[in-house]
Amino acid sequence: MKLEIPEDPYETWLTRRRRDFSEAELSYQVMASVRSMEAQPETRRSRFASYFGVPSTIVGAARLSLFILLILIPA
Amino acid sequence: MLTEIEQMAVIQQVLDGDIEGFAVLVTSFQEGVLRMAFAITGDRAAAEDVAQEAFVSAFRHLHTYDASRATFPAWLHGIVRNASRNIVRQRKGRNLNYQTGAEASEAACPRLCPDDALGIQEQMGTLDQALASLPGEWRRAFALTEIEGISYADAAIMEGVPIGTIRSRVHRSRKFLQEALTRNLNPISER
Repeated sequence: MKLEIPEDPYETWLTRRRRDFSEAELSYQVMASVRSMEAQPETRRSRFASYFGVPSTIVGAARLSLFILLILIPA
Repeated sequence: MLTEIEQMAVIQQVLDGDIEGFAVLVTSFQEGVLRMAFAITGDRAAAEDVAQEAFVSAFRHLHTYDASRATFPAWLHGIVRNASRNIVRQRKGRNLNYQTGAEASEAACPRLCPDDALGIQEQMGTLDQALASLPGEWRRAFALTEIEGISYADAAIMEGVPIGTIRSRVHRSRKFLQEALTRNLNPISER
């Protein structure tokens, strides 16, 4: 029984690719990760970083530079 | 799909501490993110890992999002691209399970008789493999414009290249895919 034969395979393929993942349900896993991240206690560095809107590695680097300066100044 | 104003409202809500609001963004963008990740990695399992990683990373860095520099989907696209690159790098050496259109074909055309279904699945598989063999930047340009329906101008901003480059990448990709299909349909003429 031939009921549905695509005339243009390229268009058929494109239509299917556009429909891909229409049943996806990611929010459960993502929100589980997000909640577990939020549950971790916030460090002073991450609080600082989030306040200034910079990555916490920058806060760490700034803190280290300040520390080195404080050691070098008296010398 | 959320409007830009709604996106901004949800982002602000999340930044104000209502993390559950982030689920709205995930639900709204998950399909596009998965399709883009699949177009880059060519592997469904890898695409899911990329999407998961991209959304978590987007949440973590949401405070750095600047609406005056990029739309939220464009910003998210950059994260997806980086996450895809990381996953592909991590899995280098391990085989990524490239999937043909067979599954989609079966689901989409359940009424086809077996012979027709086989032929169509083969054609879909040929096109999937041809897409996977395209250079990454061509594949991304093709996926953004032809699959996601994003304008050439927006795709150019997302990819950080001139609009003419996107146009040419899409044109070449389309030509390559159609040639791959023609070769599959007329294998004798190749000899």
